[in-house]
Amino acid sequence: MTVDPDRAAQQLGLILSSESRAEVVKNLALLAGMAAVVEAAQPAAEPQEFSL
Amino acid sequence: VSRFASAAAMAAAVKGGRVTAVSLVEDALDRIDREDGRINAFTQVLAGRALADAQKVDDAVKAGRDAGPLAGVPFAVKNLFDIHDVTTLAGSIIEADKPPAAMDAPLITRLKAAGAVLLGALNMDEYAYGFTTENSHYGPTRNPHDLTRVSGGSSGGSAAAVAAGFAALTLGSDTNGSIRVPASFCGVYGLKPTLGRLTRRGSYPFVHSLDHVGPFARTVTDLALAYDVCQGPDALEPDCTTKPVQPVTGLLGKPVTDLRVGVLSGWFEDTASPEALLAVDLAGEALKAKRGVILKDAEAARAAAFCLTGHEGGTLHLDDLRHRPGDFDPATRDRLIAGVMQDADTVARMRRFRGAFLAQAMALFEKIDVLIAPATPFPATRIGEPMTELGGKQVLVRANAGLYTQPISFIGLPVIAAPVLTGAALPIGVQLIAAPWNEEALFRAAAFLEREGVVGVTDPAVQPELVH
Repeated sequence: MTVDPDRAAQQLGLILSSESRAEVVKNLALLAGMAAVVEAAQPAAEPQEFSL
Repeated sequence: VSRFASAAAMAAAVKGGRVTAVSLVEDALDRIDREDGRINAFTQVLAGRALADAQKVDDAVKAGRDAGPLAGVPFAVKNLFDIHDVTTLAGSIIEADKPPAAMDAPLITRLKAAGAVLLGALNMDEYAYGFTTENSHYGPTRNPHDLTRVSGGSSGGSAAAVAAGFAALTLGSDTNGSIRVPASFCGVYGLKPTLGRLTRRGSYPFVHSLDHVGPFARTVTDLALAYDVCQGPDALEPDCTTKPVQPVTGLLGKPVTDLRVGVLSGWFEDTASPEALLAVDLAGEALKAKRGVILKDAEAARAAAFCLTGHEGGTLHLDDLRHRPGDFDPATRDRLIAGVMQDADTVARMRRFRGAFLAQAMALFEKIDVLIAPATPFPATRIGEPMTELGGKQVLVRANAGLYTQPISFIGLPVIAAPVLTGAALPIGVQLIAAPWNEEALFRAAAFLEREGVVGVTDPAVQPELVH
């Protein structure tokens, strides 16, 4: 799901400067790319509770 | 006793009356005073307290009492560990306003009880969110092997202090590679034990579900001594294991012929630099490792760790992100903000994937005891240069130094980062990785490699100004 940085900032009570907003947008794109990699993975094992 | 002597040799000399703990500590303090201006490993030196503690060790030796396995050994800790009466900075200026810690972290207490003497607190990336220790508030920690290069992070001060011979042992923390990356860059040993093996109480958190703590050292024996001293349950820390202590120091000489060893391929070699591949080759050859072992979905595990880190870290600091955004390093702040903005479904998917990935790794450990992978994709990069070449592309150092460590800590596996003697000027390490709770196999493999001359710590001779 694409994150709207302005809406998310408002919901979280964060104030973004223009410089900060630009960097946050770049980081959100990086995270979206990472999330897509996880989405594409098809682990042989079923999703389960993590426990050592 | 040389500044680069092992902790075991220092303790033996103190207990044998050949040197006093006070003189060891005085020498260490003198070196730090003369040389740390160039390296910047320490953020606080506790000289008076260290000398008083060293005197107590000498008094014990004089009185014929057992001064402990680490008698008189100088050590230091990443500044996210609580030190009694010292403010825990966690690499930030926000925390500098907080009151001093009421007590030592339990791992410090345990090391002191074993006779080790605390010298002070060490530099790190802000809130442990980084791989270079280029801290905008406290300055970069420079690599003792090349002062123009980073020490790695986030436990950069911990690795650099050991490499420079300021302390024989240090403590660090590792969420995504923060022990293993600086160990590789600075050419020292680092242990990231199984998640939950060592108590994290009294350490400033970063990502609760991924945080580990562990030691750095100059020999495998020293790493084992520190690890054994630090083991043990902690009734006040619910995430610390109640499993019996499993000492490893006495097992280092055991043969390794029964160990099944494999070299991780795929994600762990596709983009690695020639230096990283050489390090893995040397370690694999010595351990007669099976080649081409695949840990499926490692890239996805790294990606999931990346996302979870941003979310949990951002959530932890949300209040300060709202009220004191200008007091963060902007690079830390904007990553934390993006992390906390991720939606709940995404985060839940990362957590579910974690269990599945662990199951896949456990299937691999039915056939293999120790896996080998690079600790870092490249050796230490230049301070102030955010980009480096990897796999023919320019990539961000900060986002990519942990390419090979993140999938492993994501599922809490124990790892020793061991410096491989490649003959190159810059150090680089390998990860020795085992199934959960099987630190023993790692220590035996690392000790074997050290005996064979494949891994080991070299003095930072390229910096003659450090060796007087």
